[in-house]
Amino acid sequence: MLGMVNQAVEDMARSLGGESLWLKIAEGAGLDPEVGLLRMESYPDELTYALVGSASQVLSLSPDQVLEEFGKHWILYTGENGYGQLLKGAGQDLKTFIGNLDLLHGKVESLIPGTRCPRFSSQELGPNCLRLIYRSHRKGLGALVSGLLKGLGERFGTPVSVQILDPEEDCQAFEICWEQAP
Amino acid sequence: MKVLRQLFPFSLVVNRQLKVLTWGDSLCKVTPEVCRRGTDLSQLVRLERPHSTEVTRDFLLSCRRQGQIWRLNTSQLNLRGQVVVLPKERIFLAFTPVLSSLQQLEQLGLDLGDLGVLDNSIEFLMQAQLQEVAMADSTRLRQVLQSKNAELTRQRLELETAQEIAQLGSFEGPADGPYVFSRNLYRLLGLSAQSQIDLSDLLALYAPLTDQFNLASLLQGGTFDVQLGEVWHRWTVYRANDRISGTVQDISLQKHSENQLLQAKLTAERANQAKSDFLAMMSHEIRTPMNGVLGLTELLLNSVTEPELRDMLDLIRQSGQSLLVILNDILDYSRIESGQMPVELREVQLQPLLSNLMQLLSPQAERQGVGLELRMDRDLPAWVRTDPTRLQQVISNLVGNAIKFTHQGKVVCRVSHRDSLLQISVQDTGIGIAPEHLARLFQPFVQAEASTTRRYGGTGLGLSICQRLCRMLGGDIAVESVPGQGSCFRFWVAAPPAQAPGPSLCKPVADLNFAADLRILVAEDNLVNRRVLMGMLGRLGLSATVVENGRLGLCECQKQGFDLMILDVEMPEMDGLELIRRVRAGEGGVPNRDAYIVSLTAQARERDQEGCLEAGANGFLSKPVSLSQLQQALRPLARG
Repeated sequence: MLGMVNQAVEDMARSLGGESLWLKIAEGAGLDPEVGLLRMESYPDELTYALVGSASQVLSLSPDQVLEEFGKHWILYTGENGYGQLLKGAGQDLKTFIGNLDLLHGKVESLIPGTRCPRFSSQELGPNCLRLIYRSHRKGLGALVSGLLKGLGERFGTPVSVQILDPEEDCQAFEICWEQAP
Repeated sequence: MKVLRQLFPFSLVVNRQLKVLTWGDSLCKVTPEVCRRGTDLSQLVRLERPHSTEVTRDFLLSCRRQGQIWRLNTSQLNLRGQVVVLPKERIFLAFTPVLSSLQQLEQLGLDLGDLGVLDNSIEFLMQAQLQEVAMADSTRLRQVLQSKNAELTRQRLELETAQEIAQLGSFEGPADGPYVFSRNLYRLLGLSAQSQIDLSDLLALYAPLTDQFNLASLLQGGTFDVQLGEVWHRWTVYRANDRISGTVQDISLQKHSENQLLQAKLTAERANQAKSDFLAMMSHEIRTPMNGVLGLTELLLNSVTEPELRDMLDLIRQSGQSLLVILNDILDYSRIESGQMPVELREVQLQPLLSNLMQLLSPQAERQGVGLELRMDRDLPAWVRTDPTRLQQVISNLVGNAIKFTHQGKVVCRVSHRDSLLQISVQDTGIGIAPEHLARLFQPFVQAEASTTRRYGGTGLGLSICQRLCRMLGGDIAVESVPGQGSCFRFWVAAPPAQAPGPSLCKPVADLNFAADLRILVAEDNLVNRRVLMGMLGRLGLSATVVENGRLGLCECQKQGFDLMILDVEMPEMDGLELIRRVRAGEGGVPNRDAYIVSLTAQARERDQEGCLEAGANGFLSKPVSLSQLQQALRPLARG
């Protein structure tokens, strides 16, 4: 996974407990905290799982809770601070943004060699609801996507509910509803 | 047409008069004015390149094969354009926006989906932003590397300094090489730092190599002390995960110190041995005449009846016994120091042992006019397991001291038992000991004050011996004292409760009788001691053939068979041990090679006793010999 995604764990740790908390989590994941994460580097997925595992231990949260916070934090802080313009280009409202998710990931994948980004497709379920289909070779990251979607709701000031549906063999579906028409 | 508009969402279609017919959704989003049929093209856009000019149909048709740059009249957005002629004289203007930043996309109210699928401009902008990120990361990484490099340099210098101070070099690498050698290793081995070397090159310096120190043994790991000329090196090698790391240290100084220490230790051991031998010899030299003094005094006391003479003889006996106590103290201390004091644990009946001991000590107390009390706890176990000889030695010493230093009042000996420990305190109402002298009271050759030695005598070894005996018996000793009021010595030894052993078959010494026709040989070179022995044997109703040395003794043995032989160990011409060995070997037809042999020596050390028994003696007597000791030694020959 790209360093720019993993970086959310670092940012989240620093915002929750400062440098010392991040050092603990990094140490637990076997990462040299001084070198940290290079945002354009494609890291083995094991590192992501190790970071989540270590944060889970240090923060006494379940891995899914960590992943959801990790996703939210990425949208609201990490992405916003480093790639704000890129995110803004993906859409000015929740629905447009979700609609452009696959396009955005496709462009990132074409621009950074060696990355394997997830695929997204969506189906409208009504004026304020849609179903998002997420496909990835990485398993167990449904909570991360859920956190990203909730983060997007906050980003656009649109209270959102995300329901993770039962995973299928090659994909994971989410039902997303928001309170007002975006 | 719809497909074209999707491919080019910023496109326009105009008619022959350049009036707008249809428009792309994205263009409409940026410039809503365009979304009206019939609007004049020139009202919406103007041409920037190839040159700014009035836009006419002919002009548009003339530049069909080249691209143009247009600008929207209503915003600062430039459009890249291409003219395509459609049927019915319509013209398709395929516009794509010229974006200079992602921010511009936001300012125009556009998003990724508003751009045509064939439009790569957004990729360029994204790439620019990602490159910025990569550059920032690269800059940060360079700073981290610089900082780490500086830290590594500092650590390397620190390590080099430490290695130089410790006269140590190091190396590290995979087992099959190549290795990295520290600078100080080169220096230590007198090599140029530029040399291209391997471990085998270093080992070649120590040629010829040995079975213990060679490349194969080194790679197994371990510590090797080897010499390179006059210099000693210690190689310490670790092997882990097929990597080898090691150090080479100059330990010449350490080796020199070790040698000095070893020499000092040997010298000290020799001195200690000399001291022990000297003590033993002195003990022997004094014991021999003491045997005469005490033995003859005892014999005289049994035959003299005149009170004045008896008093004088008694004084001689007491003085001799005091001298013997001093001798025994010196000998005991010497034994304890050399670790040769044996501890013989056995079942001991406490009550008779303690009572008899107090009885033995009570005459001394009576003479001093001091009371002597023994108070034993009611729940004292009848039998315990300990060394009775050493226990009695400690109690005698403490009670004897207490009596000696008490002029009025009493000495109380309290005995209790708890948790397998026998605890005994000896409390007196004597002169007491000043606090400043208490701490060194148990040091050898120390008495509380110099004046004590002058007034009360003694070697100053007694308490030191007591302390060491207590510790040998698994306990210790302590003292409390108030000057002028008295002292209390308290000691404890391990003495677990024990079962009573089976009934003893031994008869009391006093009841022993011997057959008068017992054939006895006495070999003793000292005239006085011969007389003492003969006197004692006479007291037992026995007589003996007497000779002055072993050679004569052997002659006598060859002439007649003896039932008992009492042989001095140290004799001229042939010593007692040699005589025993020859008798046991039946040399020259000795008729009774199984005679009962008691050896007699002034050497009171355990190893001397063992030497006699090894030579073939049945019993052993240490000079000076008392009548009762002689009786005890001859017990196996007693009648009945």
